[in-house]
Amino acid sequence: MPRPLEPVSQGTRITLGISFFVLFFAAWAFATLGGFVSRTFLADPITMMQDGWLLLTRFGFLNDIGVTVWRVVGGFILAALIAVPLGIMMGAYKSFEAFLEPFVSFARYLPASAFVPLLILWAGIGEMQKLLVIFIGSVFQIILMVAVAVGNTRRDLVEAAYTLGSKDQGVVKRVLIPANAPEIAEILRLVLGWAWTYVIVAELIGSSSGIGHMIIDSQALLATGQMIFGIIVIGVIGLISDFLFKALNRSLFPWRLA
Amino acid sequence: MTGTILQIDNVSRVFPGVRGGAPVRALEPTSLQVAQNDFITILGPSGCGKSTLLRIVAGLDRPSSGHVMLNGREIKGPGADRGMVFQSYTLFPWLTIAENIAYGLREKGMPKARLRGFENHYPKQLSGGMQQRTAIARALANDPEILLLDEPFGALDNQTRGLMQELLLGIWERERKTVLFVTHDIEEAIFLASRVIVMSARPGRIKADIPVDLPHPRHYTMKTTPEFSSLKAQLTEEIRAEALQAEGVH
Repeated sequence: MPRPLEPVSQGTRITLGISFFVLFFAAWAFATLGGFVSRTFLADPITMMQDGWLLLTRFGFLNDIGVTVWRVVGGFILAALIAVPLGIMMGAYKSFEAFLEPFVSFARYLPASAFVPLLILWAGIGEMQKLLVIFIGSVFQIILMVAVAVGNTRRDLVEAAYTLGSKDQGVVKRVLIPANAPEIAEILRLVLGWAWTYVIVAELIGSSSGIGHMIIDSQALLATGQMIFGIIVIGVIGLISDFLFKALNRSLFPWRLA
Repeated sequence: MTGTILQIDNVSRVFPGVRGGAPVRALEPTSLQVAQNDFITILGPSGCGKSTLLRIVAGLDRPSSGHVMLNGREIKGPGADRGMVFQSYTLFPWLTIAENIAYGLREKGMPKARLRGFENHYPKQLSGGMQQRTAIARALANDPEILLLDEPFGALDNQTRGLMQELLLGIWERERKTVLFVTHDIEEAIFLASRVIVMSARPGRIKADIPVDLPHPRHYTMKTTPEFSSLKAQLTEEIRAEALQAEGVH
């Protein structure tokens, strides 16, 4: 029996991680190919892969993937550009926090998906509307989380900087920001994951391209294989972006692992 | 000895009560004069306000009354003229050792390249003793008028602590900096100091001011000499009474 908190080797970790995927697909194949679930409602893994191949080769699904990735990244970068500086300001200056925090906390609970109809009225069904859905969904989350991280900076580091001659601005620039940079990168990684949810919601309504659009189209055709393929593609892209983000953070902040 | 560099005049500190509780008097009105090149250790039981006093000199805390003058100028906030070493490890973890030491110089606008060829390790990779050594170097790099140390070796093991004491004393003997050193370790207080200030239990006030006339340079073997032992016995008595009072034992 494994003991609590006992570490496992890298090899075991990878084997165990992959084996759940295998188990998952096996259970799925057993339920569908074994005839326990109606094919109308759930395609089997083989049909799913065939449908996926058709999507990619014949129906230009790669283009849809590209469009969706572009929307997520675009809306997310827009949100990060505005939210990270605001969050740092809120974390650093308590009056600024007192001014904005209540509103941001309120806005954070406004569901991004509920804005879709409104944003269609405001911005039409073009790219701007898609970006805005992701923007609204991400920006308040990032602001709050960054503000909390910066607000929790070790006080003794700040005091040390003051005794070394830093002025208030210097403390923000040379202590608060570098001390929290890895934390902020982690926050961005987390929120990027949520942004994927918003983009699909945005694409389900009033869209003519993207992964979400393909899924809605497939629903009309009862092509569950295509729908599942679309969902899995989202998962795989999420996994890849997560991996890249982690690798980037590791190379940007070597002092964390030192 | 030359003139007074640091003048503490009737400085007291009262912390407001938490959640409607009574305010806490951490420091009774305290006066102290520090001569140029003096090495003063402030000795007292935990919670006697010795760190509060040091933080007020550093400008990190404000006195409730009284004021502190450094070279005739009143201290209004923290500044590079007073180098500080903390008990906790306060090297900036995202900077290398060289960059940490150069931090103050960069704040003054000096070029970054001055410390090339230095260690490129991150603080996390160093032992506690090495980190505190670097912290002292970082504070000294600013060439402060006075060096403030708040139990800098408190978290180190006994052997390392002894080595660090000798190192600091060596620096002082060479550079003749004015030093204010807070500790609760009696041996440390005597070994380092030219003057030991004993503080009473909370609310803190200065209870005794004892000159240490042991010769320099001091070697660790001095800790076993009769002169050292008699000083230690005397200070142990002083501190013990305070510790008992702080614990509420009679």
